[in-house]
Amino acid sequence: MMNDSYARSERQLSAAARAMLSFTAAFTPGILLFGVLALKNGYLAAVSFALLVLFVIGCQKLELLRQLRTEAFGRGKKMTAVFALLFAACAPFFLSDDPYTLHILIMAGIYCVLALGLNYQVGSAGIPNLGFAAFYAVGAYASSLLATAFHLPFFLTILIAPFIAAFFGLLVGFPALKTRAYHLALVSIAFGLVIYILLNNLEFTGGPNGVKDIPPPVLLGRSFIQPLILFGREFPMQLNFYFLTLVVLCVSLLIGNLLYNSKVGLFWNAIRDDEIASKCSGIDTSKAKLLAFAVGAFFAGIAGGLYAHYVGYISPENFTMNISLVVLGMVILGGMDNTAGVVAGAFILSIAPEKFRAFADYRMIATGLAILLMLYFRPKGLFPQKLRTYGFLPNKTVSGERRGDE
Amino acid sequence: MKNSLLQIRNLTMKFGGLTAMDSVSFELTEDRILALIGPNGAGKTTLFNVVSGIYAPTSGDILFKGTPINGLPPHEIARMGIKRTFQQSRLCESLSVLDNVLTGLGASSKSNFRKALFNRPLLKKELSAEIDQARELLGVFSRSMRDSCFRPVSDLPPGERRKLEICRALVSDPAVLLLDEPAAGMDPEETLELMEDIRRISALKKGIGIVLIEHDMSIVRKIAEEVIVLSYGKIISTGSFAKVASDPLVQEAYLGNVENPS
Amino acid sequence: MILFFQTCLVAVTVSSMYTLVALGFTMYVGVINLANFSHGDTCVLASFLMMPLIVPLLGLNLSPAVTFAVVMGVSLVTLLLAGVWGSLFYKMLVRPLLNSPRLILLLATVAAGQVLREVIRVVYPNGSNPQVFPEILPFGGFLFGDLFLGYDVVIICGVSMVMIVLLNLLIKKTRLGLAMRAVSQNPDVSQTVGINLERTITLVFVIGSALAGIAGILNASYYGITKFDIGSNLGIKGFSAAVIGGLGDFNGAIVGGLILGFVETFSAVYIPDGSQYQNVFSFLAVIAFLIVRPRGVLGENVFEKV
Repeated sequence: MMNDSYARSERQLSAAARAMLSFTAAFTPGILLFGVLALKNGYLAAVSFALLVLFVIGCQKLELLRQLRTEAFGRGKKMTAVFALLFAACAPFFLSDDPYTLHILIMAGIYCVLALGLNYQVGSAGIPNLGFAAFYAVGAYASSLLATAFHLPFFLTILIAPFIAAFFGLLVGFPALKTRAYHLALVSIAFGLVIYILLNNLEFTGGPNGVKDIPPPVLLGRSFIQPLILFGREFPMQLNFYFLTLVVLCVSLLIGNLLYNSKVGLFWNAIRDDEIASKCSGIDTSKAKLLAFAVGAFFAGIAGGLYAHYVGYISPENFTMNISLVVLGMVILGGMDNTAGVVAGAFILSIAPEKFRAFADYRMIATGLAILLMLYFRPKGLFPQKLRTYGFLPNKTVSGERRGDE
Repeated sequence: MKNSLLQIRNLTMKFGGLTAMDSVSFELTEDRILALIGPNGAGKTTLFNVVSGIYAPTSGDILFKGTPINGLPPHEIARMGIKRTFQQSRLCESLSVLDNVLTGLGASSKSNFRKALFNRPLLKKELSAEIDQARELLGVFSRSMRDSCFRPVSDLPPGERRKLEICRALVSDPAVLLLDEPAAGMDPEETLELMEDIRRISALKKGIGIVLIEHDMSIVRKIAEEVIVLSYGKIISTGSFAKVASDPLVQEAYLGNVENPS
Repeated sequence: MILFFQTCLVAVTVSSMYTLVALGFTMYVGVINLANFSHGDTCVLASFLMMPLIVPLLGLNLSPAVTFAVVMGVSLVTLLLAGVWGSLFYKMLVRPLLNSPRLILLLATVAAGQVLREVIRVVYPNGSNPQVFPEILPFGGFLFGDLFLGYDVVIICGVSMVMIVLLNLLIKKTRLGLAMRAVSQNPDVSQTVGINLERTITLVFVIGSALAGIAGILNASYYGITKFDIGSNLGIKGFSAAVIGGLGDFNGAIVGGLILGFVETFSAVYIPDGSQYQNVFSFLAVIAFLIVRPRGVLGENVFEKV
């Protein structure tokens, strides 16, 4: 039985072997992804991509890799995450002559944060928000206007802006409480458009010209647009933003994980599946939905602030409905309420357009088709949500079953 | 003298021009099993929907342990101690068996958020205790559900789904349990098991008041201590099963006018 | 004073167009409880389908009577094509997802609308830019003192009135209408009484797309312009009108269209700098309605069936 083989394999593995598995699980996709991004030769990059896909599929299906799956992505999740973080921290140093790839990675990271935010609403709570770009915009504009008009430093504005975005999230959330699914979708679209029009026409937001000369972050006296000097070598300034984004992403992932493995995430899912039954079970669905709006918008606000101070210039065109749909696509493609899935979706939909520059004209068609295909064949996404096993709680045995098993 | 749990006084529910419930009054005391019967469309489920807060009554009062609850939102009524099951079992299909039971413990959401981010140790302690509590309850009704409580709900056979719904309702120790046609679609063997389960509920949760909507008279006859008959939204008879079954008004409601079949 | 009446006329025209779009939405929501977010893009599709057909024919400089016949003919062909699109849309996109959670289907229509929009932009030469739509509505009109009532305004309002009457007749007096009402109440049971579910829903999409076609053609001819991305805006306005008026009721489409049209037009004319913010006013009106009276003006208090 399942129990026996698990116990058997567990006895066989030493700590070192487990570490090796985690290392492999983290570094293999990492290196392959690196190959996709960094290799200039189109064919080699494609091969790298194919191997990456094979690895991902293999992990899920191949018997050979089953041990990898149960160990590295099961009990050893934390160690795998640490190795992944290590890889992410070291890899960019090999891209010192390729600031463009660094730029792609930074944008992918920002989109990850965005997608994680939308995931709270669409993935966890089942709220169809089609105007998410509005919160992204509020965060970006709030942060940049505070910086340009009041000369506040980035590390202060990036703390204020998300709260402003969260407030706007509540603004949408309240009418949303009284509305059914499609009414809600309509409200979200309308809100997104209202924000876009206001940004385009109000004077203090700069109108169609947006906000220029947004000051970059300054840490310990060094500005982020100055090249990074480490170990005596000079690295492109993107590296500064890369690490900033990496830190923000890690914190976002941590928060996402904490919320998912708690009553908050559980109740969101309950509301998504059956709102009436949830209400009659004692769940305050209104509060839970408002929370989803606020937290999701908060994340979007952070992403917006990051984006604004990285690119240095924002305009309403950066926050159109197309952006809302792309982020939505990331959640649908990657996996509704699966953190790893959402990250994967974000990476795919932000990297693919860069790699397929030649087909830029067809970008939105491809995104739309990808969403449609997903909705038909795999509505739960590439990485469907897994059942909660509460492995993070102290292990207890009842009738011989250990927590954390499938 | 047993304490009153639910007092329904002249409860009326109108949907536009349709009167689904007309001046319904009855009382549910502690440690009692009350059956609500009547032909289809008589307003039984509507009664449950009003008591559980899904609809606000057009007029009338509902008192829970002396406190008026009409007009309160469903989650507040549930937290006060009135839980229910549904005719078409409403479970969270994407969640596991255990998670479904845990949703029955829907305490305040605000502190949940703070706990999730800033007080992990407390969250872990509470969650562990709740999982134990949930598994123990599951074990009372179905050993297999308790042992494989991390499996998806979609794997469960219909009989187990009903038990799961009952567990979800019971896990918070409610004072009142409303069961909406729990025996629907069950064969005689499953029906016997259901009766055992209902007896188990009474034994397990001391003092609980159960209102049971049922069409299967074999259950009603054996389990119900009092029977209320609804027809076209009005109560037409109350009393023991024997008394109600022999009431000509009740027979007419179910079978139509025996002398002039329409 | 004249400005007021002139504004009223514009408002009524704008209202009529929103009403036409709203009618389609009402059908989808009413019969199968679907919010079809690609409806607006179907309107635009119709205008883009008509252009390559009508432009060469108009260039032949025919007599007014023949021109009229040609315009009618081409319009009908376009509507037919729109109907075909509706049928395909249903069979390929909607039907596979009818039994999935509603959220999935809603998102699918959103994605479908986006793909449609982009395909138009890519396929049509110079698709990213606004396209001039030929003048198929007659010039001139009635002059009441200083007040000018254009023929085009009369036609647009007239067509929307006619459509509402026809739709009401369809729903109340025909077998198809009866079938639609049955399906909207209970799709499964309606099959047991002999209603062909498949055919009924297909026709809903065919008629809905034809309605979108009418709205799209009239919209393009009134403004003289069409562009690949006005569909989302149009669709949202139409949906808003349907919601304000009360979803599920064709007459609600008129009420909603009027409210939306008047709010928008009057705010554009009478509020300084209003024209830029007119969409803001209409959307805020929608949001306000959804908070205060989500069932709409004419809608019934919907009790969710538990």
